[in-house]
Amino acid sequence: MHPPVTLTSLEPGQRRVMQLAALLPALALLAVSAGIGAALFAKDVPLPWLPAALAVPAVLFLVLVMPVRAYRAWGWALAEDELHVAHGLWSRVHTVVPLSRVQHLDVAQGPVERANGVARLIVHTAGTAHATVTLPGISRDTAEQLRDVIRAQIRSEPW
Amino acid sequence: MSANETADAPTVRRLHPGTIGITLLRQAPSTLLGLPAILALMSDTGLLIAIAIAAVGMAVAGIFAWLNWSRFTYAIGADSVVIESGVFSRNRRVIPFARVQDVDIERKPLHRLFGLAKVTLETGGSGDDEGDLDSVGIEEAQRLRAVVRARATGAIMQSAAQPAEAAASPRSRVLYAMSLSRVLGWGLFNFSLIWLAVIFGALQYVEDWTSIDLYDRDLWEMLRDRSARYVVASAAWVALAAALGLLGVAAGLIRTLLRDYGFTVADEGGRYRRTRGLLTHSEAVIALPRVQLARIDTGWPRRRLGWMRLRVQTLATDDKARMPEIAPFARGGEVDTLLAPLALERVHPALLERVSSGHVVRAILRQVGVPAAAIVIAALFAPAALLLGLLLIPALALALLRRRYHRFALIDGILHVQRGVLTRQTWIVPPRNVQAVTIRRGPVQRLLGLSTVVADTAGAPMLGGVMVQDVAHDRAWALAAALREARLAASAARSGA
Repeated sequence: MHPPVTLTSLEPGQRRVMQLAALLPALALLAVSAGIGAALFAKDVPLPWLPAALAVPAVLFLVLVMPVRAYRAWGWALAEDELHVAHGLWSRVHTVVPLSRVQHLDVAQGPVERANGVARLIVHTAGTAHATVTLPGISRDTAEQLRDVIRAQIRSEPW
Repeated sequence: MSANETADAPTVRRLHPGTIGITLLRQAPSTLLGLPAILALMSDTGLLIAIAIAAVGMAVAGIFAWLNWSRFTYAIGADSVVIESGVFSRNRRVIPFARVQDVDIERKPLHRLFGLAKVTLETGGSGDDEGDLDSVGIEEAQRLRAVVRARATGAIMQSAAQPAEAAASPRSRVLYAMSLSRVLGWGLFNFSLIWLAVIFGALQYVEDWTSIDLYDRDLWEMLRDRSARYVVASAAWVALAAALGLLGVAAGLIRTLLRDYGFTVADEGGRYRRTRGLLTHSEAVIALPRVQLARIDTGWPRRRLGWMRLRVQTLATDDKARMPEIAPFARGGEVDTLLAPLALERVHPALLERVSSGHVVRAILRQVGVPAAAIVIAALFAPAALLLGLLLIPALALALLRRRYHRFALIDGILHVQRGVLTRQTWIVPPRNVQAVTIRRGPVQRLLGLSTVVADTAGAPMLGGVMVQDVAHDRAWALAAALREARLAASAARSGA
């Protein structure tokens, strides 16, 4: 018995968003290894270009491959009375939030996300460890639709 | 309680005037601490002037205390408590009854001296939202608690659609009380060496005063030679260790006696009222609808002797109030009595289901494999490190036993989880209090086909919440589905009632 729901993948635009998010740390890595290479060159150490040469495939991997795989690991579903959000490449995490337990909801959209036509739905519960469940990479319409559906289901039950 | 409280314009009250006295006494040490300094500075002007300065200081402190007191008011309105304070910048705090979780009454020695008490209105928000009334008279404290509690419970009851008569009848029934011998017995398990640090700190001063250098080798060698025989010296070490042990036990006893003397829990129809303390008499009220789960824990020696501790998890935000002890040292039957008002019960571990045998594999990898690798690496540099390998034997034994004591089940719509080999913990959780269920699979777990199920609850600690580790993937999803069923059933029963 596996997840009792079929998960929907994220919007393709999210792939670009995740790649752009990976770009900055990757460039930092490239800069650091270039710096090390320059220092080695100044000290006449043999093969000073080696760190930078090693960094290039690592950067390509971090920007081109990893975000795409992480993107594929995401999925979500709105079941009858529960929201499912799954993600994680190395550790698979699948969170199920009963809609009646939702405290409040946010729809957020950064500039990069807006340019790529995606938004984030953020669900807050009264819990601690998974009190905030974020579902990124859905279209703004979907996010607002989900928000309205969930809001209608929040019951005035006490905790 | 009093009709004028429900009127549109609630009575505005001040704290007890004795508050000024308490404030002054509390500040006295810091106010008077400057006295020797002043004396030293004006050695020629004499004592009288120094005393005059101190008197002026006290008078100024008194005026400020009086100003603070006169500008602090509170009022109980129809739906909230309003606290106004501040001499120059005024602050008005409104605490709706619906947000009040507990009303605590605390009496420290100073309060007792003045016959006063500190009342704290605990809310679910951050610590700043709390309302402290420090201090009011005892009758006023009890009146406040009765009024606020009745309205707070009324507010909860309304939204919970529960019978309202529970709030109306504040009859009290003692569920659990600790006799003095019980408190002392519990103290024996609270071995504490914190006092040792204090004593060693004090020894530093002894060293300064007596010009004995404790870290002087010659001193110790002289002592050893003087004791003539090495055997005598080692006997002295054994005696020292025994003395330290006794000291630890005594410290634990005293601390426990101060904190838990007269520990009593009463059921007051919809809430627990817990009183305890020898010098600082504290009283806490825990509204039962706010209880998220019950947790029973017991260490190995306590378990052998049939003792256990019961705590509940509430919504309070500060750590101390989040998991209040309901019974620190109790027999199984007493825990059952305490759980009854919560409609929870203990179940025999044999009724629970063990997690997958892969749990042992992972425990061995983590608790034996990783340290073993570290020891091997260390041994490359210092072969003596291999001796550390002996420590792996108990670690292996614990890892092998883990699965035996990690069990879970959903029985009569209540989730039970047990975990821990030496210190054993049992969580009893109504599924309606589960805020989110997370099923997690790490890389090793994926190889072994396992999942960990985390049931997030309100007020849970960031780590070590309700968790079922390493069950087969199918079982994990079956558990998630069963939790959903139980939640829906409870919700249907509630709206049907």
